[in-house]
Amino acid sequence: MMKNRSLLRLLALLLAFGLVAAACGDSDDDGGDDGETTETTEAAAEEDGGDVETEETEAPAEDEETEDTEAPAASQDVAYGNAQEFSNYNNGLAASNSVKNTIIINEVVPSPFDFAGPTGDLVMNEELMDSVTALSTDPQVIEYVINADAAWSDGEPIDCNDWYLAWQAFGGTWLTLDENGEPVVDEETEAEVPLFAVTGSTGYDVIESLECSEDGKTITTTYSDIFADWRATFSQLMPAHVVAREAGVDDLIAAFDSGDRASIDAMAEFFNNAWAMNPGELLDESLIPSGGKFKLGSWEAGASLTLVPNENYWGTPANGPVTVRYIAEEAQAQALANGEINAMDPQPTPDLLAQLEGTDGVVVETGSQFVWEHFDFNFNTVFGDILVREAFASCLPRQQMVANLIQPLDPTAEVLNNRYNQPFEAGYVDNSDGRFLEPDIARAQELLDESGIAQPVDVRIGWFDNGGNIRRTNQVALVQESCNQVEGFNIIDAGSDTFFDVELSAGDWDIAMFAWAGSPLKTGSSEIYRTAGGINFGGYGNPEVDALLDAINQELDAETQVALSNEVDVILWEDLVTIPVFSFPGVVAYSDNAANVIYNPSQNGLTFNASAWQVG
Amino acid sequence: MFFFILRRLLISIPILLASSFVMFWLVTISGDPLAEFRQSTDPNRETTMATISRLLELDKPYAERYVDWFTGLFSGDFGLNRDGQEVSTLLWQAAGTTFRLVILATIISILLGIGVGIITAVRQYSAIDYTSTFAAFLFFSLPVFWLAVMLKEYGAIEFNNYLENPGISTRGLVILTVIAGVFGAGLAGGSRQRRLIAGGGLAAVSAIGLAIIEATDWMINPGISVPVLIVLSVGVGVLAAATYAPFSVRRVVGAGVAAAVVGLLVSQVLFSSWLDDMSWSRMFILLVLALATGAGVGALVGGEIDRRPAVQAGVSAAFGVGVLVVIDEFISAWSPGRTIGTIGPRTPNFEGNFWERLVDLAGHQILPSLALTLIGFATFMRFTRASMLETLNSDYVRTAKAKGLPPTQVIMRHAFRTALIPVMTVVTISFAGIIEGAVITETVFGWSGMGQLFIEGLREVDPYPVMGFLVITSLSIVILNAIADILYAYLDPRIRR
Repeated sequence: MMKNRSLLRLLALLLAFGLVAAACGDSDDDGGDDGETTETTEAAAEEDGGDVETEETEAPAEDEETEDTEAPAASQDVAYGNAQEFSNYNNGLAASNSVKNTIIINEVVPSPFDFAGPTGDLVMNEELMDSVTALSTDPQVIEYVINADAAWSDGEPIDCNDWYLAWQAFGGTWLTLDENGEPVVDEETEAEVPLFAVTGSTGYDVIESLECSEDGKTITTTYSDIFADWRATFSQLMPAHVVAREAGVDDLIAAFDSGDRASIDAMAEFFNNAWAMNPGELLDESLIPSGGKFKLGSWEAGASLTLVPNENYWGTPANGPVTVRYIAEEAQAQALANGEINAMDPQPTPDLLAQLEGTDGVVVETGSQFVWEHFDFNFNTVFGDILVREAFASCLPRQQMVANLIQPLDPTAEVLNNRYNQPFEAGYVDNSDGRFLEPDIARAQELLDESGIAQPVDVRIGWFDNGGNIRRTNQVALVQESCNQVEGFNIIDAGSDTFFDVELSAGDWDIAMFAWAGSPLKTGSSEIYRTAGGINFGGYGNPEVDALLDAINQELDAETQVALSNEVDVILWEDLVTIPVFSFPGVVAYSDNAANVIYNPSQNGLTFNASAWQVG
Repeated sequence: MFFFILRRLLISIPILLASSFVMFWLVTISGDPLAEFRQSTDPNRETTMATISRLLELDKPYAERYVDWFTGLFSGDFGLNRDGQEVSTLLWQAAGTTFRLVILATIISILLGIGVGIITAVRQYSAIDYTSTFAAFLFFSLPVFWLAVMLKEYGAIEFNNYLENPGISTRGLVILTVIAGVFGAGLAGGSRQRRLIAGGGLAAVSAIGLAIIEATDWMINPGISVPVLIVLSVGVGVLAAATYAPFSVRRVVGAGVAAAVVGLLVSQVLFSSWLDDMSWSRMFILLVLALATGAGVGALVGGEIDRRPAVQAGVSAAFGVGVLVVIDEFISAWSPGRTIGTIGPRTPNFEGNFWERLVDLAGHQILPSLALTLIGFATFMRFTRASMLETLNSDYVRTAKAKGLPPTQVIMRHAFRTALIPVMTVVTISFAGIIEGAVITETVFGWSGMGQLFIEGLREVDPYPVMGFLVITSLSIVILNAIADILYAYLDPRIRR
C-alpha cells in the first residue's frame, strides 16, 4: 500500500512532466484548430481565452518572427562600453576633471575647439563658431564670433556671458577668503586657495581683457603675454545664465567687474558644488542645459547614461541616442560579443586582443596614444656625464622592448624617436639620427671605460611598481639582461609603489622609467626640460633649450611651433636627456554593423564623433 | 537565549570597531590618491593636485580622518567620495543591487543544496549521489571569476546565438533522453524493476516532449495554447488532490480539478485585461484571490467529511494554476532576441510591458545568480547529506520506520528537522562567502553593487566608499548570525532552555 502510493505519486509527476512537454509542443501546431475552437464555443469563458490566443496565433509564424527580431532592433541606440561612471556636469573642476566626465560632457557643452582631428589635434567647431581670428600678435588679440543661432537647449543664446564666466572662474583672480577677508593659504603648498576650485589657470591668467560686442556674439580677448595654446582655452563652456540665475545675480559681467563679493561667492558656490550628481540622479534639465548635439537624457545608477539628441540644436543633428554602459574593462569584450554594446576602447592586453579577434562580427583597430614611455637620467648622479648616459643608451634594448611588448598589441608600432611629436602626428621626425636603436654592448663598454668613472656602477632603475604592471616588469628585465653584459654596470630594479610621490621628486634614483601622458599641445612639455622646471626631475639644464621652450610657448603659428619643438628635440637627443621608447598602444573594437566609430588618440576619447555613430 | 544573542551582538561591537579602523588605515596606505596626475604633462597639474589634496584632506593624519568619519556616522553621514557624491546614496543603491543578487542566490542555493542533500542521503551510493557529489566538488573548487566568465560565454553568448536559430539535433535528443532516463532511475531507487520503469518512463516522456518541441518550432514561438492550458490545469488539479488524499476519495479529486478549472477561467476571463497590463500589486491581489477561490471551491465541493483535504487540494490547485498562467504569460513574452545578458541587472532604456520587462530582468539575473548559487550549493548539499545520513541511521528513525510510518514522513518530519540543525550553522558562514563571491561576480557581470563600490574605492585610494562597504556587509553578517542563532533555538528545543 505504502509503496503503491509513492509509485503513484511518481507516475503523477511523470504525467505532469509529460503534459508540460506536450503542451509546450502543441502551442503553435494547434494554431488553426485553436482558432476554430474559440469561434465555435461562443461562451464568454472562451472569449478571453481567445484574446490570449489571438496574441499567439493570429499572426502567422513568419510574421511573428519578423516582429520579434525587429523588437530589439527597434532600439537603434548605439551602446558604448566604458569602465568609469559619469559624476559631474562641470568638468572643469579639479575634483571632477577626468575622462569619464569628458566623454559625456564634451558632447553636451559647447567648445570653440575640439580635439577632433584625425590625430587628436584641435579643430574649430564650425557649427558653434562663425570665425575665430588672431587679430594681432603683439599684444595677442583673439576675436571669437559665435554663430548667431547658437543657443542653449533652454533657448538662452550661447554668448559672451559664457566666455566671461570661464575667464573669471579659471583666471584665478578670485581667492577664497577667511572671515577676516584675508586669503586662505593652503598649509601644504603655501599657495593661496582659488575661489573657483578649477583645474588651474593656465592660459586664462594671461588674458588681460575680454570685450563683448553689443549682441554678445563677438568676443575679443587681449593677452598680456603671448599664449601659444590659446585654442585649448574656453573649452567646455558652462552656461553662465544658469549660474547667474541660481546665484541670484542679474548681470554676471557687472557682478564680476564691480567685484561684488557676495554675488561672486554665490556663483562660485554654485559653480563648485551644484553640478555634482549622485549616480542615477540627473539634475533638473533647467540646471544642465545642452549647448551641443546631445543632452543628458537618462541615467541608471551604476549601469548606463544615455545621451539623447538635443532637439533644439541649431546645426546638424545627432544620428540618434548613444548609451554609455558602465562595464569593467575586462568584461567589455563579452558584452560586445553578446551585442550589448557596439563599441569599446579599453587598455589593450594581448589576451584581450586575442579574445576580440576571435569574436565574429567585431572589428578591431589598434593605434597609438599620446602617452609615451621613456627612460630619464638623473643628472645629479654619474649620469651627469654624457659618456655614461651614452653608455647606458647603447645597451638599452629599445627595439626589443617594442618588438616584444608593444608590437603584439599594435603591429604597426615602432620605436619612438621624438619627445614632442608622436609617430601618427604630421610633425613626427626621427631626431635620433638612428642611434641607440639596437644595443651595442662593445660600444657601451668603450664609452663607460672612456668616462673614467669608478666601476662597477650601481644603476637603480626607479619605477612605479605596485605589483600589477607586467609590461614594466618585463622592461626592467630586458634592461638588466642587456646592460648587465656591460662590465661595470650593475642594473638594480628599484621599483617601488611610492615611486611617484616619494622617490621621483626626491631624486632617489639613477634612471627613472615612466610615461608622460601628453597631448597634441606643444607647450605642455616645457616644464619637463626647462632648467629647474616643475617636473624636470632629472635636474637637466641648458640655456639654449630654455630659450627654445620660451619660443614654443610664444609661437602662435602651429607649423612653426612644431618646427621649434623638433629643434628642441634634436638638442635633447644630443644631450641625451631622456630616451623615449614607445607610444602606448590603444585599441578600439566595434560591432561590424556600427558605422563611423573612429579611433582617436586624444583625451576626448572615442565619443568625439558620437553624433555620427549609427547601428544598422 | 535572549541574553545569549545579546551577548553575541555586544561582542561583535569591538570587533567591528577594530576592523573598521584597520580597514581605514589599510586603504589610506594602499596607494597614491594622486597617481593619475603623476605622469601628466598638463601645465595645471600642480594646482589640480593641490586642490584635490585639500578636498580629500590628504594633509590630515589617517587617525584624524578616521575619527572624523566615525563621528560622522552618528549623524548618518558616510562622507563623500572623491567625486563629491554622498557615500550614503551610493551605499543605498549598491546595497539594493547586491542584496538582490545575494539573497536570491542564497535562497536558491539553500533550497537546492538541502533538496539535493536529502535526495543523495536517501539514495546513498546511487548514480544521482555520485553525480551530485562530483558536481558539488567541481563547483566548489572552481574559481568564481572563471566560472562567471564561462557562464557568460556559454550561458549568454553561445546560448543567444543558439536561440537565433534554435533546434534539437538527433544527437542532442539522444543525450538528453539518456540523461533523463538515468536521472529517473536514480531518483526512483528501490528494485531493479522500479528503477527501470521510472527511468524508462522519464526517458520516453522527455524524448517525446523534445521531439514535439523540435517538430513544432516551439522554441521560436513559445507559449501554451488554451486547450493545452485547460488539460494542464486539470492535471494540476489531479496532482494537487493526489497530494492530500488517495484517488479513491472522489470529492477531493473533484475539488482539485474544479478549483483548477475555475481558477483558470477566472484568470483568463475576468482578469484578462490585468494579465495584459500586469503589475506587482495586481500580481499579489491575483494570488490572494486565487488562493481564496481555491479554498472556496474546495469547501463547496468537498462536502462536510472531506472538507479539510478538499480545501487543501483546492488551494494548491489554484496556486498551481496561477503558476501555470504566469509561466504561460512569461514564455509568451519571451522573444528570441539576445535575451540572456552578460552585463548589468537590466537592458538600459528597455521599454515593454510587465512580462517583457520581467523576461528582461530574468535574462539578466539568471547567470550571476547561478554563479553565486553554485558557490553556496556545494556547502549546503554536502552538509545536508552528511547530517541526514547521520540522523537516518539513528535509533529513533529506525523506530519510526519499524512502526510503519510512510517513508516521506520519516524523512521529512523525523530525520530532516534534526538534520537541519548543523546545516543552519553553515548558512551564516556561507552567506559571508556568497557576499565575498558577489564582489567578483558583480565585477564580471557589470552589476554596480557593493563589490564595485569596494573595488573602485580601493582603486582610487578613497577610504569612505570602502568603509561604507565594510559597515553594511559586516552589519548584515552580524544580523544574519543573530537570525541563525534564533533559528537554531527554534529548531533545537534544548538550546531554548
